[in-house]
Amino acid sequence: MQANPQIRLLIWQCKFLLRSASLLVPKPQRAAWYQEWFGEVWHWLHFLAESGRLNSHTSMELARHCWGAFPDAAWHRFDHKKASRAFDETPRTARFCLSAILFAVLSLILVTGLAPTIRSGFKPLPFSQPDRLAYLSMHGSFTKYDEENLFLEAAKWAEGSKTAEMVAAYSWHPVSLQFPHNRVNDISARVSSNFFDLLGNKAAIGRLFTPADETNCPGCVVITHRLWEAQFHSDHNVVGKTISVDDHPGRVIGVLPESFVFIFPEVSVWMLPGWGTTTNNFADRTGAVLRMAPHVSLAQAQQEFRRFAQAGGYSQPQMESFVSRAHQGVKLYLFFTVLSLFGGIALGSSRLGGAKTRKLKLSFRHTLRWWGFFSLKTLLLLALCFVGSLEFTGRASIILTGSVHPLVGPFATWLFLVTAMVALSWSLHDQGRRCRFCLRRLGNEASVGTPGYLLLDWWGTELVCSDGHGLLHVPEMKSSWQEFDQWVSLDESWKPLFEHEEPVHTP
Amino acid sequence: METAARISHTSALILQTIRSGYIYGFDIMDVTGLPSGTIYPALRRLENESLLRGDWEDSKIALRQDRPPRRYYKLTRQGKDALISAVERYPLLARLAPEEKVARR
Repeated sequence: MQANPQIRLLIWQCKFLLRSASLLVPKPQRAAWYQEWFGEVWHWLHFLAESGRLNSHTSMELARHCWGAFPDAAWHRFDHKKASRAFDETPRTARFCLSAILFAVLSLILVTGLAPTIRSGFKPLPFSQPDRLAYLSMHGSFTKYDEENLFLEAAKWAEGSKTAEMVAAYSWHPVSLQFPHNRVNDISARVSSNFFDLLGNKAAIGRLFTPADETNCPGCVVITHRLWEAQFHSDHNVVGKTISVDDHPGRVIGVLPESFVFIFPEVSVWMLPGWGTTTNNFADRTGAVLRMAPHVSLAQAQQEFRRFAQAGGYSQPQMESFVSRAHQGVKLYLFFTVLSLFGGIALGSSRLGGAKTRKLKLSFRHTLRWWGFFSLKTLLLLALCFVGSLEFTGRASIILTGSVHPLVGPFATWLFLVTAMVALSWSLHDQGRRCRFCLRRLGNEASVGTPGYLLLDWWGTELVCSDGHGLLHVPEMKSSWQEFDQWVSLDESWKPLFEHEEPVHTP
Repeated sequence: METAARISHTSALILQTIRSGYIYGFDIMDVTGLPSGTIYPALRRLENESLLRGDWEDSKIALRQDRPPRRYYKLTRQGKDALISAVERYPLLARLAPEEKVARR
């Protein structure tokens, strides 16, 4: 039979799809499978051509028909019942639960660019002798301070201090940076001229500020390594180039080392106090950093500088060492993790205690698996909350406001607290709905009893382990806070009911 | 008579269609409106469970007409019993039943 070119092309396309699908079919059945499908397609195509119904619409239908060969071929390869059972049962397993949470944690870390905020907390501080550094931060809702006054006060504190060798003030703002081809919203900080000297930093390119710059070079700026890479394309001749900060031209004199981070990594331009227009700034965006004299404790410096700050009219001054700042987040996570684990174990024990009264005897191995799974699940969930809260708030603030808002820190802490509580509640609830032996999530929910007979009988929900280890009775109404879900272990005589063989003739 | 197998509505519809004389995959798809990804796996399962029997047509006939051979399906005894019990269980199935096919295309 001579086929016209259109039919030949369609047959060739269908053959290609069917041959591809046939690779899924086990080899012994492949030829017969292909022959049946090809026979069907061939007859259909010729029927369409002979009846004059071959058009673009029917050709599309034919293509859809050929795509159907893939599921058919897949069912040849995989047993339908086993696959359906695996699809239903796998999400119930403890391994799947842990893998899913771990996957979520890793995805979140990857999406946020390997969690830069958290990583910066683990890096060694980029300052010389950081144990002698401390910073004095100001607090107060919507309180503003005169920047110029703060820099003058810092110079006065340095002269009068017995506990600090050097003092430098800082004040940061969101700014708009204009480059030849684009404009970006970023963060800049005004700092005393001895700021980098106090921290013990050296420039990666060019130089950093010196006290003489305050009079000789008030328009000088120092940029971060990140900004140098992103906007100057790592140009080694960047020194002397001009950068526009809030429409004020500034001359680049140096680039900071890549490891340099002060307070938070988003500050990208550093300027001297006399640069641009001096304004009043929010208390949370201002502060001072000091290098303590040798053998002076943080408590001694704290006492002296609180006095200085209060005398200068600064409310709620707070002093912390840099080391504690760097590990604050980690400590917070560890604190809540330990607290959550203890709380979870205490609550979980009381639930199991309810079951114990009904003679649930778990072997040491099963008990270890039960608590190991709970601990690991909770740890991973808390890690997810921790990474999410810290990275999300920082990124969201930069996207929405173009800067790291002063409320980001407290908001991240509160978000972590709330999400950690939700995670712990879910972890406990999930644990309670798992088989005490195989840790599978229980299923086949059935409502048992009659509400009207509540006083005479039991009313609630029953959940069953798909492997037949036991039943969980969940009362609909608890008569006291000591009434827990009741676990009933099933003995070997129940096993035949839970055989995995499907009844025959149920396609 | 053996206890009739309990089958799903889709399986019953396919059996009903085959009993009406639509005996190969494309015809069944055309009549039931079900996609090929449903029809063919269902035919395999029904065949595995001995409710259907698939037979290749005589290859000599196909060769003489210069076309590939087709595979035809027909109900087994168990398939007929299963269909009778399914029609009792799904009364609306009778309304969905296709007309008997008069002659093979």
